[in-house]
Amino acid sequence: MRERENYWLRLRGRKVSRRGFLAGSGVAAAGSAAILAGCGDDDDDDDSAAPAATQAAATQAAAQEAEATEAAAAEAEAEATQAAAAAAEEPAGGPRRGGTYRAWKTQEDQGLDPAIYHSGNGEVTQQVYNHLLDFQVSKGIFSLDAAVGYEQVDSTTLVWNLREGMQFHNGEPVTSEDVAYTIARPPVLYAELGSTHQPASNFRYLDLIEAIDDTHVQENWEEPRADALIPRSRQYFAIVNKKLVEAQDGKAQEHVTGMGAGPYILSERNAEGTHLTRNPNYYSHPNPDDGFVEDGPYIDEIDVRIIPDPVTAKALLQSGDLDAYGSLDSLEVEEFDDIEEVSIEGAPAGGWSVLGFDGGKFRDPRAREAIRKAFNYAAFIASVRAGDGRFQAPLTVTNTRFQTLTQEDLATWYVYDPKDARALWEAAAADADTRGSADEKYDKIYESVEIHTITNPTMQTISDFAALSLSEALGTEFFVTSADGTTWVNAATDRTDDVKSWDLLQSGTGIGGGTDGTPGTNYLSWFDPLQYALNAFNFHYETPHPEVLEGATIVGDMMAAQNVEFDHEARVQIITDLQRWILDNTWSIFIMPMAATAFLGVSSRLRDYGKDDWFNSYSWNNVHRRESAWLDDA
Amino acid sequence: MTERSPAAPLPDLQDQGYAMPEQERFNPFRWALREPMGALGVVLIVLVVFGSFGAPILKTTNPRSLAAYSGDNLAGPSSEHFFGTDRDGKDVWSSVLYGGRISLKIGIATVIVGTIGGTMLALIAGFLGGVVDFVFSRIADILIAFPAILFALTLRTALGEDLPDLPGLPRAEFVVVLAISLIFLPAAFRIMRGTVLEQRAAQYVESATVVGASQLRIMLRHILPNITGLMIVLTSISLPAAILTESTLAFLLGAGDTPSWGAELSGDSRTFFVRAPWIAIFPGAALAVTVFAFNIFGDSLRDTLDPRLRGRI
Repeated sequence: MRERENYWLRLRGRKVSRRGFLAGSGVAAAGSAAILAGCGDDDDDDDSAAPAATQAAATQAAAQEAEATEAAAAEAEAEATQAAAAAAEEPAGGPRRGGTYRAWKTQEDQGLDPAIYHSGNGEVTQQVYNHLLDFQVSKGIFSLDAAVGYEQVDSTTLVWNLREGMQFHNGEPVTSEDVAYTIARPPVLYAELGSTHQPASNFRYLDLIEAIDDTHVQENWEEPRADALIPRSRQYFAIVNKKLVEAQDGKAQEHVTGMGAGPYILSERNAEGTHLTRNPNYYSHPNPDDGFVEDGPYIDEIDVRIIPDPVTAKALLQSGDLDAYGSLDSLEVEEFDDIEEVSIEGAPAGGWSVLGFDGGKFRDPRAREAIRKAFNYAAFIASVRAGDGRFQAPLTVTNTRFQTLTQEDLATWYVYDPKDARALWEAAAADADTRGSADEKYDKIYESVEIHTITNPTMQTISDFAALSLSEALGTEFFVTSADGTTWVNAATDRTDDVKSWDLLQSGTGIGGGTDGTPGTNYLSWFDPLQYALNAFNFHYETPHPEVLEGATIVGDMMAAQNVEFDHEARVQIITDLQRWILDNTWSIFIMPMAATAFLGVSSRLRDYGKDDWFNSYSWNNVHRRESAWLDDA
Repeated sequence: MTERSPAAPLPDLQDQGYAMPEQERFNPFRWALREPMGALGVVLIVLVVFGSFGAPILKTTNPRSLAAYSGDNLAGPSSEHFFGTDRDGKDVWSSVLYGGRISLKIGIATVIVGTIGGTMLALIAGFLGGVVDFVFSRIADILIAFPAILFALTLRTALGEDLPDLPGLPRAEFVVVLAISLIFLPAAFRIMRGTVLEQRAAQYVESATVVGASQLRIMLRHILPNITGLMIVLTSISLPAAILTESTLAFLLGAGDTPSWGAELSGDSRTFFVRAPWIAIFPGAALAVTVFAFNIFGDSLRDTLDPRLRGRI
């Protein structure tokens, strides 16, 4: 009886047994496992995926050099460069009108008010609203938009001359009152909300903003500011309709047609994405500056789909169904070699990948220096950066107007020396032991160190490498935890205690990024005791540790000095000194090597899209602000 | 009829032909011939276990060491890297072998907690009946009502910060074990409760009650041994499902800094699947082979221990 239960008899009986089904399922599972790899969750390989705290490093800039003669010279030079570039880029026949530009983003916007949020709303803040002017970092020039001129009357007074004939999408005229309201509202919102995505350094110095007549607005500042024009060109100061915004308690969160006066109208916004259509009443730009077209943008419509999975977006780019993907890993570039629909562009990368210290715990400079010396730079560049990496400085190396430190200079600080690192770490730990239990929460790093990052493969890879390198060199356990972007930002900015819930905060992938040209907020803000060193890293004036307070005072004074210095050479010297001090003291954050080259994937039908500035900040949602862009199959 | 005094020792039963015939004793070779798929499962399981726990002696580099970053990124399979390398230059062969440790460890821990826990609760509920049975059964109904993966994802996220490290089971793994166990526990409870109810009505339980055995003794000494076979079968069949669930969670959430087959199928393996399919294929194949092996072994074990159960679980 029992013998009949054996496998062979059952097989001979040709019964469809559960086991037979399982055998088939096993084979199917093997295939499915492979297929599984082609679908599902994931990643953002782009610095733009970094959450608010990272992204908000809103660059403040380089030289204001607002003097008319210099600006005119720069513009003339840039026009010549632009003309040459355009000639090389465009096919015979020139720009064509029409077509739909297709882009993507990973998630819905958090809100549409340009002065409050900058996450997931770039297509609206860049294209539905207009701005006083635009700044192209790669060329160092300003292009006039809503303004036809500006004058730095003195070191604390700036006057804007507005273009006439502008109107919002509902037909109401854009007035000087609207512009004055636009410039004045960020500090009001900041005070009301406690924080916004806009760095406070963009507006902290503002005093009185007033419309002095129908076409002029005057900014009065409490102190001189070398970088005022560049922030005005960014999305935070997108011109809003005062009447409609005030009707929403001063916030433009729910978009109403007529809130903006930009080249496109927001025609659709839902869980699938946003759709923009040409503004038929868009004002003209006679004798347009670079990036603008006299009769408005060439492209008719902009469609931005929400695609949570970057692998899906990449597949759409490969199939010719997407016009811009964004930053690519250098190892991904090869996949596009034979795809005619895709154009891959490369440029020097300026992105960031850092380990931010909790200054409540990393108060001892020896502990911070130990981290710097325990990191294996060569192995990191060879593996994580696939052999294509370079050092990053406190001010991004792509901000060439202000950066004087070379790779050779930086190499003197970024030296892997595990023996020295261990000695420094143990000395710091020994001192911590003498402090006793009263300081326990400040000294817990010598038992184990938590590296907190975002659930993102690239960032986790970076964190894992750091944890291994630091653990092996220092003999203390470094472990990695991760969270979604919103949770990560909350953990980063939580100031309910004078220590953080994490010990080291990993931020940025370091494969894309760039600069908007200003040194003050991009990226020196990481070290500023009034900016991210305060909000995220506990290197500020209210610290309980005297040694941290001393450093914060030094950095704060130098930051303030460079902010008010109009003389370019003098300002560069201050910034250089500041960077050296930061590197000597491994202050606030430890900067890991970044990719040497950033790669951008766009469709080959896209022309004159200003590729050099795509690599810089504020190309949000791959909808770069450039009205002269066009599609060659339109 | 043979006469013997009451004090005389019992005769050797085997001599009298009452013992199990020689051919009915468990013979692994005979079993392998009769259940070749089960034997294949055993061989594969042994290979997987040996590969995972013997990884350090199998030409591997610990993925959790700095030496794992070879600098040879996305290299194809070769004599140096049997399964190629991944985005960061890590040897996929090493990742697959070391990844098996976490999959097996969590799978086994989950089944122990889920199946044994479910059996114990079923024993209590089924034997005591009444309010206890009602409460336990309704709780099981509620737990089963949640979508399994969503429930596990929620638990893993919610419990992540609040659990302690256990010896041999760090917090990150403990939370996964707990999350998956809570999926398996009510299912095991339901199956075992039915069997306990059946056993409770058996004569041997009545006899034990009559002679004054305590409830605890009846449950542990009488009923439990009679449902152990089913529990073993349930365990063997739950194990592959637990491994798959762990991989699913790792795929969806990432496995942190611990290599895991599910996590290796996510992230970079998807990004680079076109250029370097080996990053996904080998962890996927390892997962599939392991699940397949446990499935066919469990199936054969069930047939061997209790052929009447075929088709029931």
